[in-house]
Amino acid sequence: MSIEKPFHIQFERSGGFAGIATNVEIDSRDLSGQELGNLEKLIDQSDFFKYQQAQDSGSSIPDQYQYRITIEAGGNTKTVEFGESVMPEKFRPLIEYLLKKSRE
Amino acid sequence: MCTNHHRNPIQCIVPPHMVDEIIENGTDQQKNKAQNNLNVSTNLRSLRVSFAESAARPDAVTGQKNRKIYDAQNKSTLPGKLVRSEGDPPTGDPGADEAYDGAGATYDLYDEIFGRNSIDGNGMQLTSIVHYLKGYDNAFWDGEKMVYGDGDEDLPEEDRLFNRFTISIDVIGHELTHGVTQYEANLVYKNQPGALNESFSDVFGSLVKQRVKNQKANEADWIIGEGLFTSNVNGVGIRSMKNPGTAYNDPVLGKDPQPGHMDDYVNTTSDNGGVHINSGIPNKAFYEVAMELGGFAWEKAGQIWYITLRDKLSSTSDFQEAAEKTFETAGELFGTNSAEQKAVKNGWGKVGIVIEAEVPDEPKDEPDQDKDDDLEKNKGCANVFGIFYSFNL
Repeated sequence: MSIEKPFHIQFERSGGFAGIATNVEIDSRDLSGQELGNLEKLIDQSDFFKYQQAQDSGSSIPDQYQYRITIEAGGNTKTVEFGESVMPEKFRPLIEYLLKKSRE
Repeated sequence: MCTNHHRNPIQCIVPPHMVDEIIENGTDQQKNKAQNNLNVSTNLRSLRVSFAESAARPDAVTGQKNRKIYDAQNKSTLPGKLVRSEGDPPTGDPGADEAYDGAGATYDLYDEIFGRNSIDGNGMQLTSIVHYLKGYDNAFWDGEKMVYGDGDEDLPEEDRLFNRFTISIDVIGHELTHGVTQYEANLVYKNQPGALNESFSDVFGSLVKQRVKNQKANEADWIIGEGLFTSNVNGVGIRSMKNPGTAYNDPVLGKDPQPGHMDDYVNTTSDNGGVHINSGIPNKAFYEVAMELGGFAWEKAGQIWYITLRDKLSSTSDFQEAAEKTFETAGELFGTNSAEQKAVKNGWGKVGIVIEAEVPDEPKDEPDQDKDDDLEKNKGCANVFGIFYSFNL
């Protein structure tokens, strides 16, 4: 299932020992064709829109990172949230991409 | 050895002559402990029941350190390769040796000052993993071991913000204390209980550092994570217990967001409800108490906080409850209306948390003559096997 365009992503990594949050916002209209294609693939691969949010998204593991991703697409908004230790593996490539973007 | 005292288990005290003997004839470890306890005991004025009962708990026995350091070799697979065990010589790898020494200093604080044998109170092995992942700007306690990243070692030097996380000894004390909290109050890692969980880790992490540096409260910098930032960052560390919100102010990392007063409490859903942000409030309360009491912060303020964490708080305790329980503990350890109890009330008051309990002008329960005799007999005593005690000094 391909994501409807345009779409908007908000990403935040919070927590960690230092508690210094990292954020980035991405609008699909600002990306080049190749990067957009790549990002769509990462979102698809993560099954973002099928992800069932666990009731307790927080991690009980002290000082781990917390991730929160919100995507607005086609009039719908969805947020997923999880701690580093419970991050589903299929989200890893997407999170790595978003972390890289947040450092640019 | 003296648990059958006729009057009160708190007076389970090794008489001074026995302490002298241990100092003269004991093993090196016993000598150090006896000497240390004697020195420290002269700074304590009194001790009451709850504190003393701790000596009867199984976790109040002296144990042996059992450290293991593993190298994850920049991978995520844990634990990795064993590089140093208890008693082994230094490896030459600064990260592994800092993890070893820091875990040792933390063990010693809990053992020698609070009479606690390791994280679980029962001699648990202290396992540390160093070189976790690549470019990992973090350290955490995973429920049974400490895990440390190397910071930004994967970036060009001019872009690095973080050094390796073992570089700062209070980080090690912080992580181990998460373990202690897990075995005691088990504060839920969310909102105010979570911020308290964080604060206890900062408090005892800072005490590990202050004790290693032999610093009194007014000599300490009260910075958490000193040395963690590279010289590219405008900051002295991650948090300031003395002045929350002032540890760093950097164009890349932003400004230290910690409040030091309830008026500035941050309501947020990030970071499990701001556990690393609002911890500034109880951190400052501890700093204020320690400063008012003077001397080494682990002697009085540290004792009050430790006993409260161990015996009084529950998984859902909030700041107000922590304030009231530390006040109660101070009363039990040092007496109702004692300078220590007043300092606890004042310290929390300075961060906007009011303890409603009435402090009478005069102590309510004057000791009877019999008690006075007991107190007199035990003046200057110390327990070499755990917590130090002294009376009427």
